[in-house]
Amino acid sequence: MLLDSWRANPNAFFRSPFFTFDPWALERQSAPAVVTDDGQNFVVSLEIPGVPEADIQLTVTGQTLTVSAKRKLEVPEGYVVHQQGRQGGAISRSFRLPAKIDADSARAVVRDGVLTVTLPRAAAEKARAIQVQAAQPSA
Amino acid sequence: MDVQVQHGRGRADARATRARPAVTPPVDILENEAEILLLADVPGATAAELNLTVEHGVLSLQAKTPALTGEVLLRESADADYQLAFRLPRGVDSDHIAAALKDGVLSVKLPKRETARSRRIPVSA
Repeated sequence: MLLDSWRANPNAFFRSPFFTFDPWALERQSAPAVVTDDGQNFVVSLEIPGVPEADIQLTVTGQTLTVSAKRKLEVPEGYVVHQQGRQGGAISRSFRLPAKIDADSARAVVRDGVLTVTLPRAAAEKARAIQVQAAQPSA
Repeated sequence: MDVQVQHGRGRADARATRARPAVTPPVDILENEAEILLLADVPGATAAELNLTVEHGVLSLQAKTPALTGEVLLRESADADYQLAFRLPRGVDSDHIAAALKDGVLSVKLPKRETARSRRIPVSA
């Protein structure tokens, strides 16, 4: 096969100047997450490339969001695998948010391989702007 | 969605305009009789913000990731774009490379030239 010479000495390939060494790859989470707070909502994003919506379960308990998903890496029929750098398997993550959330208004969407869960803060927790009024000029 | 593969010049151009740091996405390399198949996880990347170029026998990928808004409470992935370079083995027909991006997975098909395909040689008695 074409790649046999490469397979015999794979390190030569990785040492080539065209291959960028990635220190994150060694300790990469199975589904790296980002959590942001825009004042109104907490937004939890998870990298889950290739996982269909049907394979994702979301639950909210109190202030904790739990995400379970299954990532299947299927080798298409008739192919030989030379290198497998992508990770499959079960994903299970929990996030405890720093404030109460309104679970009924939570929304989730999967786009471009990223699961984005938007969790509005509970009404009482929302930051309220307080208007400052000019004092009446004293007589 | 299909991704256009550019030839020549593009890589140098892209490198010159890149401002953010970049990480190498995890990659699977598969092969069958007709082609080599490269699968790369590039979650968050869109076809519009992804560049694939072939130059000097090297396939290069550059893809932008969206910037975050709001206060960041947790960040496990690097705040970086994607970058990958793959030296094409001899025998790949670089004029007919096809690429597609779906759900954050980029698949690149590198067809083999007719002469590079393995053939069964009949042995006569």
